[in-house]
Amino acid sequence: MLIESEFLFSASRERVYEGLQSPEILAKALPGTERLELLEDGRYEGEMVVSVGPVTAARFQVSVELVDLVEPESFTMIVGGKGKLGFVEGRADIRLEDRGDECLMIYRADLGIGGRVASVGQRLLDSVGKAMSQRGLKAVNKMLQ
Amino acid sequence: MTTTGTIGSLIGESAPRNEDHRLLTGDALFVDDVHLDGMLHVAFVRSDYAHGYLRHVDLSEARAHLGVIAVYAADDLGDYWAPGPLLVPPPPIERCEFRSATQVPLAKDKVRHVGEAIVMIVAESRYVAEDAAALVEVHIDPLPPVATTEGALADGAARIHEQFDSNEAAHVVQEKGDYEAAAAGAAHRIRRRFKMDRGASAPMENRGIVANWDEQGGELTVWDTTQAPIPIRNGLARMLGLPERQVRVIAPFIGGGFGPKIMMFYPEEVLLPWAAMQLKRPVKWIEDRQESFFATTQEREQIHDAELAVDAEGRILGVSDSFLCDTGAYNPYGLTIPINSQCTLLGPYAVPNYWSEFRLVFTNKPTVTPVRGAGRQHGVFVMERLLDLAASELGIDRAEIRRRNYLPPDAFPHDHEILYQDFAPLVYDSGNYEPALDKALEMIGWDQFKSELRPAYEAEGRSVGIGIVSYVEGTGVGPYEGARVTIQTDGRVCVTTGVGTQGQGHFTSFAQLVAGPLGVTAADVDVITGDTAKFNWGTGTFASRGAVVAGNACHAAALAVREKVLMTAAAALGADHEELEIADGSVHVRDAPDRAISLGDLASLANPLRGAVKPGTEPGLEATAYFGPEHGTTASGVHAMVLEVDRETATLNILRYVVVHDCGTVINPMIVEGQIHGGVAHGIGNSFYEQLVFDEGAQLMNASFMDYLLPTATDVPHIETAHVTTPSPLNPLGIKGVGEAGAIPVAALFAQALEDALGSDVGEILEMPLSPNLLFKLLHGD
Amino acid sequence: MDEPQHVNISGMVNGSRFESEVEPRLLLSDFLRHDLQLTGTHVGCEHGVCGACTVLLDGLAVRSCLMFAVQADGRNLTTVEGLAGDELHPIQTAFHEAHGLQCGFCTPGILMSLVPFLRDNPDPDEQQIREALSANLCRCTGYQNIVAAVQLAAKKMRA
Repeated sequence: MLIESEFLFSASRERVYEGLQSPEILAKALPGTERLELLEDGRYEGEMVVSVGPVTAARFQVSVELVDLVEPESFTMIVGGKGKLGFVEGRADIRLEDRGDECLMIYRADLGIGGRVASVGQRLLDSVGKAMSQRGLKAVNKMLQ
Repeated sequence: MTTTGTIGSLIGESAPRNEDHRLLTGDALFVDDVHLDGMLHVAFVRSDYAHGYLRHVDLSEARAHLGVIAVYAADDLGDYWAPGPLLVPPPPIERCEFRSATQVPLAKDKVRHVGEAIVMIVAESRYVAEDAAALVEVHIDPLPPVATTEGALADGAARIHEQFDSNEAAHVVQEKGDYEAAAAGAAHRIRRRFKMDRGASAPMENRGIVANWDEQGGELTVWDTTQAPIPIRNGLARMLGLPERQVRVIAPFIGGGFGPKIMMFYPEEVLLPWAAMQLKRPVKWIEDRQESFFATTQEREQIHDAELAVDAEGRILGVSDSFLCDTGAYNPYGLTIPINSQCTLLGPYAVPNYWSEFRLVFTNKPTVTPVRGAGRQHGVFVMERLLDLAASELGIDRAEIRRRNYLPPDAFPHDHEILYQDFAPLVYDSGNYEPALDKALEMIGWDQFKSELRPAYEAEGRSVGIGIVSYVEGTGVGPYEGARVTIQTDGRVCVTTGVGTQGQGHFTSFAQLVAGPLGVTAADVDVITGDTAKFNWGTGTFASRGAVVAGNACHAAALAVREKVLMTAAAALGADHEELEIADGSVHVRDAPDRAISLGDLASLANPLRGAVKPGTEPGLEATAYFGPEHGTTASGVHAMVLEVDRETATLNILRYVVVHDCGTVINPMIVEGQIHGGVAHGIGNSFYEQLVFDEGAQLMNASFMDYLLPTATDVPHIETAHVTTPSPLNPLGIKGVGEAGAIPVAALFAQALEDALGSDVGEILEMPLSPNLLFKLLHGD
Repeated sequence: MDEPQHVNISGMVNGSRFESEVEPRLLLSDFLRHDLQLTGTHVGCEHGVCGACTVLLDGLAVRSCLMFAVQADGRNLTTVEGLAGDELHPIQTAFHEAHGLQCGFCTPGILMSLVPFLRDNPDPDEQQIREALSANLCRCTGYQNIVAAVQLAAKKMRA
C-alpha cells in the first residue's frame, strides 16, 4: 500500500526535524499510539490501537527506526507493527522543505500488509491510512507551536 | 449372466429427487450439524506471512486461558507429525522430471503460504478457541515471498522447498508427430501468450471435521466434508496405527464439493482425529469462510505461450504449447491439472502434430488442487482462442474453422498418442461433433445474427456479440467403484456405494439405475453413500466419474440381484425362469398375474430360519458388483452465447446462452441439466467476476464474499440446453460424465463474444478473468 | 480471566417458546443451530453476503449471522424447520418439483427469503425474482431452476 502526501507545518524546518524525533511527538503522529519509548539503540517501541469509528479494530506492537538521517532535510522511518489481526511493515521516506516560518513535509510511505487486516480490511486501509496520517500530523503541528 | 424377460429401465426419466425432502425441511445432516456430548471445538492459528522461518511459538498464555483444553504446535505431535502422502504420482511419461513436496499438519521450521496452520487450539467453544488464538505469539523471520508464477523461476527467487535447487516442481514434455517440421511449411502461424488466474471453489458449505474416539470400543468415527471417505478412512487408519475396520469415516450431506473437498489429507483431517484420541473427547472444527480462502485448495493460475500452425483453409497442421502452471506451496496432486490442460487442448479436433511442454512451479500461495474443470479450461481457452485468431486472419467464419477441423464420426477410438491423467493413453472412445455444432448454431441463430440482428443492434448503438466454442472432456476415469444392492423384507430396495455425494443427485440417479431392473420405482430405492462402515471399497467423487463408474456398479449389482430374484421366485412359484416378469415390486408368471410374490416376501424366503441354503448360493437377495473402466470416456459439447456490453459502464448482459452437450446415455435429464447450469454459472464466475487477488507479498487481498464476487441470480442467464448422444463403448450403460462440463469452455466463449461485440475497441482478449474494472480500462484507458 | 457474563433471553421460535442464558457476543445463527439444535439454518460466510443463514424475525427476513442472540429477546423467529405444517409449504413443494436445489446448503436461506418476498409479491416476473434472489448465493444450480421453482411456488400460492 502506497501513501503519498504532503503536510504544511506552521513551524520552521529545524523545529519539525527535531520534533519528529522525540517520542512524544512521534507518538502523536501515529494516532492511537498508547505508548512509545525511545530505546538505547535509537529505536522506538510501543503499542498502538487502531480504531474504526467506535470499534477497536486491532492492537499492534509497534517499532520504529529512523535511518538515513540528513539534518534537517530528510530521513526514513522503518516501521513495523504486529498484532493479532496481522502486520504492517514498511518504510516512509520523509523530505522537509524550508518555507521560512513554515515547513513542507513531503512523505511517501510504502507499506506491506499481511494477515487479516490485508485480506478483509482493504476497503478500510486506504481511507484509514490517509485519515490517520492527516489527523496525526495536525496534532503534531499543534504540539510544535 | 443370463437374463430373461424385458429388463425394466428408468434411464432417461427425470425422476424427482429422493433426497429433497430432508434438504427442504432442514432435516439433512451436514458435518456442522453433528452434535456430541462433551464435544470440544478447534480453532487454528495461521501464518500471516507468505514465506518465512518459523522460529518460535509461545503457547503459555493461550494454554492458561479459561476454557482452553489443549494447545498444540508441530513439536507437540511427536512422531505423528509427517508430510501428507503424494496423492497422484506422475503418470509414466517419458520426459518427466518430478519433485514432490506435500503439506504438513502444522508448520515446522518454515511457513510457505499465508494461512498455513501453525497452532491448533482445543477449547470448550469456538469463541473461546479464537480468544485463545489471539494470545498465541508466533515469531517468524520473513523471507522474500514468491508471489507470481513467473517469479518462481526468476534468478534469485527465494527457494520455497530448500531440499530442491529451484522452485520447479516438475518439467514435462509430451509430443506427437513433429510440430516444427509441420509448422515450417504452414500458411499461417499464430502465436500468443495466454494467462489464466486463480479462483476459489467456494462451495456454500465450508469444510469441517468432527472426530470421536470411543476408547471402550476402540473405534474412531470421523465426520468429514470429504468427497472421498474411503481413502480418508484408509489413510487415517494407517497414520493412527489402527486397523481399518476400527476407523469409520462418514461424509454426510455435503454442501457442494467442486474438487477441493477431495484433497487429502488436509492438516485438519489429520489433526482432529489425533486430538480426539489424545483428549478422549469428541472434537469439532468448522472452517469459516475467511479461513477457507487460505485453508482450502484453489486453482487456475497458468501462463501459456502457444502457437497454432494452419494451412490456407484453416486446417490444423499442429500446435505447440509451452506453459507454466502454479501449484502453490505444495503439490500433493502431482501433475493432474497440467496434464488435463495438456490433453484437453487437443479438443475435438484432428491435431496431427503436437508439442506440449510445461513447468509446474511452487509459489508462496495456498496449495493448488483441482477445481471443477481441473485444468481442462486452460487447454480449451488456448485452443479456442488460437482458432478464433486463425479464423480472423484467414477470413473464415469461426464456426466453420471448427467444423473443418473436427474429428469425423468414424475416427473413433482415436488415439492421441499422449498420456492422460488416468495414466492411460489419451484415447477418445466415441464422439460425433458436427451434429452438436449444427444444433448449437441453429439454437443460437448464428446466421440470422450475422445477417439481421447484428446490423439492427448496431443501428441502435448497441454493442452485441456472438460466440461459439467447442470442447471435449475426459471423464469417468477409473480405478473402480462398487455397489451392493439388497432387497429388504419390507420390499424396499437398498443400494450402498462408496462414493460421496455433494448435490449431484446420486440418491436419485443411482436409485433409477437399480429400480429399473428390479421392477420398482426410484422412490422405492434407498441410496446409502459416503459411510465407510456401510461400504468400504472405492475411491471417491471427482473428475466427473460418479455416474459412470459408481452408476455402472450399481446397475451391475442390480442385475445380479435380479438373477437371484428370478431364481428364488422360480422356486417359490413353481415356474420356469423364462416365464417370470418383475414389475411393480413383485414377480409374477407371465399371463398368470395371480401367481405372484412380492419382492419383500421373496427376501424373507431367501433368508430362511429353517431349511438350508443351497451350496454355491447365498442367502438373501443381495449382490455386490464392481466396475472399473479401462480408461476414461470422452464427453463433449458446444457452448454459444449472445452477449451485450454497455460500453459506458463495462457491464455485461448475456442475452442468450446455449449448451449442446454429449454425455452419452443420460440417466436423469433434469439432474444433468442442473449440473450444466451450475457449471456454466461457475464458468461465468471464472470469466468475469471471480479472481483471487494477491499482492507482491503473496498476501490475498480479497478473502471474503464482499470482495471475491460469486455470480448471483442477476449475473447468470437462462441457459438453453440440448443433447447429442454418443454412448460410451467403455461401460455397459454408455454413460459419460457431466459434472464439470458446464464450466470448461466458458472463458473461451466470453473472450470470443466480447471481441465480437467490441471489435478493435478492446483488442485481443488473451487473459482470464476479465472483470468489470479491467474491461472498463480496456475500453476507456486508465 | 473472568467468567464471561450471561444474559437471559426468551422469545418464540417456530411457534414454541425458548428461554436461555447466552453470552452477549453469541451470534443468532450459532444460538439457533447449537443452543436450540435447529440446524436447518446454515452458515455460509458469517459476513452477511451469502444469505444461507436467513431466518424470519417478526416476519422479516434477516441474516442471523449478523445478529446477536440477545437481539432476539422478546422476538418471534421462524426458521426453515417451521415452514412445513402437516404438509410441506408450497414453496418447499415447488422447489422439489422444479429441481430448485442440488446440494441443499443454500436452500433454507433461500426459502426463508422467499416467504416475505412472495407474501409481498404474489405474481412476480422473472426479473423481479432474479433480483430478489440476488441476495442469496448458490454455487450448484446456476439459479435457473430456483427461478422456475419460485414461479411455480407463486402459482401454487395464488391458487
